[in-house]
Amino acid sequence: MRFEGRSQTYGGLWRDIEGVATALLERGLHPGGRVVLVYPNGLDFFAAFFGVQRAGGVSVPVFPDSGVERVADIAKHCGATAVITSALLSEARSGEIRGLGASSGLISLSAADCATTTAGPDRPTLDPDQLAYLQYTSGSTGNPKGVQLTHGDLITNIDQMISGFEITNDDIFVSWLPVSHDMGLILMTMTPLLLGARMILMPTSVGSIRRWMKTIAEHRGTFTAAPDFAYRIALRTAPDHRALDLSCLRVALNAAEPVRAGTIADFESHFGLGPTIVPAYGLAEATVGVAGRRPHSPVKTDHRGLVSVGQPFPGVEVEIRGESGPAGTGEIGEIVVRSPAATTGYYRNPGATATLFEAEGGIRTGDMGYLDRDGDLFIAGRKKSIIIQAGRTIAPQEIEETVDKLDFVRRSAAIGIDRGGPEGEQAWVFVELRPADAARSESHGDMVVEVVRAVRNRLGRRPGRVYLLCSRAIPLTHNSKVQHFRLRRDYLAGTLRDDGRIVYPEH
Amino acid sequence: MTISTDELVEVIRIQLGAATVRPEDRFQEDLDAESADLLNIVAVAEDRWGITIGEEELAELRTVNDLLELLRQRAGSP
Repeated sequence: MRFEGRSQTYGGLWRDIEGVATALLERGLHPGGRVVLVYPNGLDFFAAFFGVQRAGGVSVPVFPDSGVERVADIAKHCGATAVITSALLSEARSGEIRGLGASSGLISLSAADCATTTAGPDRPTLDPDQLAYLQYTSGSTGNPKGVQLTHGDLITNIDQMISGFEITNDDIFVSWLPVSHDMGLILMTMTPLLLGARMILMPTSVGSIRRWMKTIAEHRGTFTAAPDFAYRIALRTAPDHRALDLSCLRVALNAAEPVRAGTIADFESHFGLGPTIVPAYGLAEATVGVAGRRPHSPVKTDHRGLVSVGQPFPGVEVEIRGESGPAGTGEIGEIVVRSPAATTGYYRNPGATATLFEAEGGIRTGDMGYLDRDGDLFIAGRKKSIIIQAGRTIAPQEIEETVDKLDFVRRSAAIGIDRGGPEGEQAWVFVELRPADAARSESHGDMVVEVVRAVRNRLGRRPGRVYLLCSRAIPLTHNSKVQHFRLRRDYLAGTLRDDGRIVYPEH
Repeated sequence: MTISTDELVEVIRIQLGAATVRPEDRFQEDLDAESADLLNIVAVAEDRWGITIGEEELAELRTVNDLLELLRQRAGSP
């Protein structure tokens, strides 16, 4: 495994894993105890992730830029025993998280606390049905959703993907995807670890996206993955096939956000490649992978321009649920997934778990799509009003709850808007001001600054735009829920501005 | 059409949620702005002043002054 010029051997990794396990067991981690991990990409993440499991615990990685409030919410929700922070975090961030520990009974560890030694308490024996990992997805702050996955689920899905993408231990993996999230973690790092294949890890940053193709060429990478927007950035910023030899690239997986046919065509022609981009589909509730095109098959698009994500992996069943029963071939409905690698539910969230499954046990994905007569899956859109920003799903409620706390805000609404730019969909926030505040035009700029800051602190990302609206401007359902699709429609059609509901910016 | 430094600084301040922004500030080092933020700032500037800026040009921008320079060049051309 390599990261920024440093390498780690399997032997070295194992010793570090044992060190973390010892540190946790000595501090009283019980079997099944949850440990929150705050790690940006780096070599030290793996010792922590697997060290927790070696000690019989459950790893709970969180997005490393999350505000301390979000880390606290997750730790509290899953009843975590400890939190471990990466040596790569800034002093300020580590300090904040240690402070969290002090006020909540959470044990907080840093890399320094995990001495590399194989001595220490006995390790519990593990079995495949034990929980290994919780993947928290964006949800309302009062209702966090942690997808629970067992060791068996992880291995089963990795095997399904190995089969679907013909992966061997001769593959060389190159990835900048965050290790705190399913695709970056399970597909791009756990798969090579399971196979004993080589892995080149890069930091998660736009700089990495720019250097990505060059890194693949340099290390003769064969397997990579990213959301569509990243391929668009890569092809704009990397030299073309005359300067860069990417013939080593076998699979460039494209998933986590809608795949554009144009991206595939432009990318392959820019780099002088045959069919290399592999559209795929999955979700954390099925561990990660559900379906993918076979490597080297040409793109398949339908008359709408939608790109097929191929067939379900061996062992995975996909059904389309129409208005009243199973949908016919070609008919769009909700995608329902059955898989031996499916989660048993959301951790300590019986309400969300109950709505996740159909009566017969299939997972309701919340995505709309159809199967054509060849059995190939096409994703048509999302049922829910989830925002997908740079491949990361964000529930509008999470943004809205954060913004609603500001004193000048009456109500807020967050929607995903894709202006067709390389960055893809962004979160745009519409804020209804209290009447008195709507009048204070000299302070509107400062209000926007506060909204941007609040969202950034909570999610680790800024919103794409913030619009301030006058009172009662956000469309609501009869039971006072934000109607996201109507707001989006009104904005895109220009009626929000025409009706005078936008107070700031004025142009 | 003239684009005032103050106006641009205000646009950037708001997009980044920053308390203060100075013309000599570097986007990455001083303002903690990533590429996505720069794209947003430029999108707002484009909307406001009716100019278009290409991504290759964005890649060159290091400081607020660089952006101001570029916008003024664009605003000046027919």
